[in-house]
Amino acid sequence: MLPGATNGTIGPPGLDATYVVGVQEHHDLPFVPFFLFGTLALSVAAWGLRLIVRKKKAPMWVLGIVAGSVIMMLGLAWHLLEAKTTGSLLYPAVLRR
Amino acid sequence: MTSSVATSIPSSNANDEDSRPYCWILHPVIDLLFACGGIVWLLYALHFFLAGSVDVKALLAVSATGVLIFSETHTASTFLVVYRSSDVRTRFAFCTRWVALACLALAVLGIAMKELTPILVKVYLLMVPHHFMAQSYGIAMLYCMKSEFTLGRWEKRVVLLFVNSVTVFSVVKQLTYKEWSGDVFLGQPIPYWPLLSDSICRGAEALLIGSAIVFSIMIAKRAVQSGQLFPVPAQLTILTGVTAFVLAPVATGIFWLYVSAFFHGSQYLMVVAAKVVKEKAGADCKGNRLLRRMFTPFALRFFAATTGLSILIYKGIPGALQHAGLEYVTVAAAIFTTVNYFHIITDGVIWRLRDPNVSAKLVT
Repeated sequence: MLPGATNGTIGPPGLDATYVVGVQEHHDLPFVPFFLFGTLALSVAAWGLRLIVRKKKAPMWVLGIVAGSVIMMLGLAWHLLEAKTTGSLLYPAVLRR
Repeated sequence: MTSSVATSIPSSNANDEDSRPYCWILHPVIDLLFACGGIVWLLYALHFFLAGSVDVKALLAVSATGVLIFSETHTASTFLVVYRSSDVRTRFAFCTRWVALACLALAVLGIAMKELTPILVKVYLLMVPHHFMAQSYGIAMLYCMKSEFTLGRWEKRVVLLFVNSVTVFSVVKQLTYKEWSGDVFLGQPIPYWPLLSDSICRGAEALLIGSAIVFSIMIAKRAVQSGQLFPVPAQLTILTGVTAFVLAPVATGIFWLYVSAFFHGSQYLMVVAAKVVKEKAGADCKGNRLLRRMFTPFALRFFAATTGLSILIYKGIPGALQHAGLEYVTVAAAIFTTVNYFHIITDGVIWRLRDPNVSAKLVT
């Protein structure tokens, strides 16, 4: 089997294409943790912003948490954008290896 | 601090909120690192950062040390929990008598019949996802209760569906593809049982993705509608638990170097330590007071007994049987798997948050 094969069209002659497809596409779901990280960042940001809007003087740590979650969301968005522009997979390469 | 804040991000300041449950099991830093998976993510990131360099060997040593300190010890501690007094032994007589006897019989059979040991290993590997995810779910629910974040009936079902779908996906994967069945574990060849078809695996995959989406929608809806955030430690615990079963092969291998010791084992030991110390010191012992109690002679004796028992089970007995002429690898594998069977089955019985004896000690 060729490492990095993403579909059944590449592989040594005689190799079962279904096997290759199965190996590469249906064994791993790294976008699930990626998605959960996104949810965590989004929900923390939503909660923090709500608190800031309600209380005019929000504590510093709330601002820090909101800033952290926004940075996290930007990081995730940046990765998605980078993946789209480079044509690579739509989730972290580090999780996909 | 308003109620909604406490519900969302646990507070470390317990002094002014003595009447309310303490939001952490032991301490914010210890919890975030060893119960929610913080140290696993740090080591995982470090592993990728150092990939290819010789420093990775140091990380492998860290992993092996973690296994000795947390992973093997956490299974051994079950014995101390369930056999600690005649009351508890009688209450859980099914486990302390029948499950223990069954596991002992299986261990003897595994040692006597070499061909049985790989099957014991295979069954153990099939039990791991449920055990691992059930514990993650339990810890997440504990954080919810400690943060006074009440889940509705449907919300609880959504979380449970998500956690169970991860278990199903992982087991189905092992019973479908050779790559996920594994080759060797504990020096034993792992049998490949291709009982399921690719379409079932795709179905399990779809269920997992769907339930992850519903879970996320539930969290977002609650945060936006009522300003109540699903507690961050609970989210992190579920996130780390789920990640252990959904990564690609290489990433899974690296993640599992750390996750069994520095997430699963350590969180179990934290809960056991908190419960044992609270039984002695009183349920209202929490926060820094609880942490200080961890260094009292009583707690240190408990930790020493757990470590000693772990060394005896996993090193002493296989070593002694090796001297008697038996093969070390087979003996070690048979003992490891059967002790873990006992641990997994007993855990499912003794750690129920709806049991007042458990929740009264842990939730406060």
